[in-house]
Amino acid sequence: MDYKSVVRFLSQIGIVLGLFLLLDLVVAWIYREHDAPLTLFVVGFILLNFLLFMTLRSHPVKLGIRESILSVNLLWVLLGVAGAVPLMLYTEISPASAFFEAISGFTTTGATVYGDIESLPHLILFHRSLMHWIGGMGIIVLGVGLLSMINPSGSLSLFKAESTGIQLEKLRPKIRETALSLWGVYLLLTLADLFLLHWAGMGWFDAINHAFSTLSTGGFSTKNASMGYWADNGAILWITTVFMLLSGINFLAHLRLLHRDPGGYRTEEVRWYLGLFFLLSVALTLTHENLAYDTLAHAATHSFFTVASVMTTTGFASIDYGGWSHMAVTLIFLAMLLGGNAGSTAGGVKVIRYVVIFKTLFAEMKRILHPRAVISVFVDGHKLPENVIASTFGFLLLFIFTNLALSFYIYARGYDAMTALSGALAIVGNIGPGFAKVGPAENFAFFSDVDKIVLSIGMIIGRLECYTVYLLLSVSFWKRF
Amino acid sequence: MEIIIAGAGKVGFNLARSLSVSHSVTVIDKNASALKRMQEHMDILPVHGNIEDPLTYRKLIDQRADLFIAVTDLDEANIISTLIVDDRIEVERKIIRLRNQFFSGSSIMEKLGVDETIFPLELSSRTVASLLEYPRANNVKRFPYTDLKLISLRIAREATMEEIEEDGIAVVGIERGKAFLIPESSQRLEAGDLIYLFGDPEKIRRHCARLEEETPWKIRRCVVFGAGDLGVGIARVLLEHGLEVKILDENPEACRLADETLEGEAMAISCKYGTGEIFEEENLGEADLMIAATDNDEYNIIKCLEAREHGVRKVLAINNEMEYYKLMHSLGIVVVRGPKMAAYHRILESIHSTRVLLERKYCGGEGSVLIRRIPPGSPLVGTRLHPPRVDGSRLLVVREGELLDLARESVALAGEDLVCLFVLSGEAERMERWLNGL
Repeated sequence: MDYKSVVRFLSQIGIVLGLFLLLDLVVAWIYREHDAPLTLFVVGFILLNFLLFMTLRSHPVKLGIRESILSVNLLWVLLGVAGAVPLMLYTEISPASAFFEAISGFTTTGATVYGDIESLPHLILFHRSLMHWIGGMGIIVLGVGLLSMINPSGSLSLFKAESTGIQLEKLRPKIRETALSLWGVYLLLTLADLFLLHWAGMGWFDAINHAFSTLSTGGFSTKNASMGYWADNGAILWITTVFMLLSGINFLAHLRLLHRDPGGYRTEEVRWYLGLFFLLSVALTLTHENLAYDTLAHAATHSFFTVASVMTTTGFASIDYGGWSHMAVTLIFLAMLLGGNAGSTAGGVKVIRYVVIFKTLFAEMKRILHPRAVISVFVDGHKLPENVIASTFGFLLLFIFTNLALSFYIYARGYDAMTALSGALAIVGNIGPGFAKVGPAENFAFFSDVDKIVLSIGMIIGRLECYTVYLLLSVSFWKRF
Repeated sequence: MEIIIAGAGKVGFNLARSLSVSHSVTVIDKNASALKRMQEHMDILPVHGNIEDPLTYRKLIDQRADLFIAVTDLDEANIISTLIVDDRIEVERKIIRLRNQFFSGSSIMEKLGVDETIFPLELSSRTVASLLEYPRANNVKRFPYTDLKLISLRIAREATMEEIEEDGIAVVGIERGKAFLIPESSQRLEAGDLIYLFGDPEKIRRHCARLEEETPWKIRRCVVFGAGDLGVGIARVLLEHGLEVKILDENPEACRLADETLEGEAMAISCKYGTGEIFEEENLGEADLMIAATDNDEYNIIKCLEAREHGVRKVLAINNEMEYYKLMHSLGIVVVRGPKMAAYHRILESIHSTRVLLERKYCGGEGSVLIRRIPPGSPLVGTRLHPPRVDGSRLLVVREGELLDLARESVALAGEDLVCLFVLSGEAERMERWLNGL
């Protein structure tokens, strides 16, 4: 293990992160908020990383698989700490709570420890959304795009360790170009959402924050009632629904569209993703309408919004669905389990994995009926290699075990079963709100400091798709031979 | 540059690794696992498909490329792919590698619009032939425009740079153990160093006999291991030089074919049941030179060691695996680039050489020679060059067969001068720009 390369890499990403945090200062200046502590921190943070980088700049970078995995894990701890300091400087919360909030931000979970969000200073509100936005597309993707020296060999292991999804493809030979283009598309969609939200009646500040939060499928809001603040503004809810859905689709598909190739959307994953979205939304609309004696349009707006929000693991709430019928809760739970597309900013299990898993199961049944037949699993016309199938099943098991372990933990800490079960899924799936005590109208402030650290680790495990974190626990990872 | 490489074999792999550092490289191959392996090691775009299938090229986002390199193992596929790529996308320049020698004299490649054809078998056999004139040398390299050569040899005793360089020869590289360096004038040479000398070959021959222990000898008898295309090619060159040749192979059928091709001039011996006895029976130990020229690098190394055990003075192995280059040197084996390595180096040299600048690699690719010819009417005539401030570089000017060292004397350039810059390969690209920008 080449620890110097790891530190050198982290310091470089630290500089990129520090430059991003300068945006917080811009907000502080615009709103004339007390900016001295933040300035001191941001400048100090950049300087510290710069010094580290300068001391190690002559060290040749060697980021193999192990170094990449360790780097990514450590990076998330670094993100948590760096994101937590501004929160501690401006609000009265414990270090553990601040760490939880920061990790929740960067992992685009959107679970918060703040009860009264509207009382927070603008720069803190913006800081929370900014963490979402950086974490959504991934800061390593950005770093690799901006600085070729971060990853001179162009190895994919860094990308693989951070990015979401089971496959990663490049559209152009240079990984830099793909990384930058992805961020370009991300920025473009964010701007589109921002202007549309403003056009629909949202103030600039709220629009920026919600655009950041929507595109990253995060879920932090600037309002206590989340998107429920605009519950009567159908345009804002529908715009957000559409952009949440877009963020749940593989960004390479969007990028290919920019190259006038709509082929990226003609995949089985996108078809299932949109199909399941409509199915669950319509079902929820009918359930909701039946219950609330509401107009169909109203019911549809909130149902489509809720399913999009939960399925893409954003976690916005336009209405408190916690008190809906058991049928509705079941539908929302199903949506929570689905997740978005591989290669999107959404978390969760991801639709493609279900496609792979169900196709493999059906193939297995066919094999029992036709013992001599050659039966392979095809997705989008390509035969799936055995190792992809094995790693997909492995992921699902790890995801389930992680959820179970976290549920048991929360239950053992003295909370009810629904809080434990939905809370664990909301955390590991990077969704945000669950049900009962952690429902859409509640927050995570009541957990103890130790619990918050455990939950933070749960969020990181979910964001890095289990394997990257659990690899640290394997003996062979640390063995020299 | 946008470069497309057809073929993810050994040559394709090494080319992609070198070129992807500063160019956009797309690699096309049928073998998905080879592509996957490449993608894990370097920053390239893998395209899975048959290079002879026009549909494959539809997968490329950029419908143009500056350079197309076809290096699959099949000549036919390489040739056809250049036609198809031309038809499908816009390509500036095409380089292909061919195994079959019979294309080398024909004008077919020109008709097909191929800019450069590489015949690696020919390259390897020519290298072997050049060694015949300098039995002591490890390697001999020729250059266009000049008769001066780059010759490497192992020295048996300590020496100073002045001692060697007094006669218009330059030491432009030292391989000591695993390290390669381009020496400064204060550098001392140690016994066992492999030194790279640039200069008039006669002078080098005369001068360097003093640095060696044994009395000089001439190569008369030769053993070639491996009766494949390469082995037979080498045997033919040796025969042309009037040597006695025995050619061995495990496969009796290959021996029969070799015998036919070489018209019985070389004795083809089948060693199907091991080589131990054959060394005794055929008195192979009496040979002056043994060349292991099979496709299998490991086998070549073993045969060389075996031959030395039996008393062969000079052993030479064909090498196709970059990783083994240093290992072979450390075992005292002379290394000649095999067809794959030769193709790799020649293609790289050809890409980096422009109309004004020529690049050649030496010491297994660790060193680079950049050569720029100054035409008589050039605006550079009369200017004084100063060596660039780069660690480990040597700037020399060749004028009428004589070497001028620009670090020692200030010389104004004249027409027909050759500016030769020896640098470590890591610096080659920067120095290439410097030399181009003069």
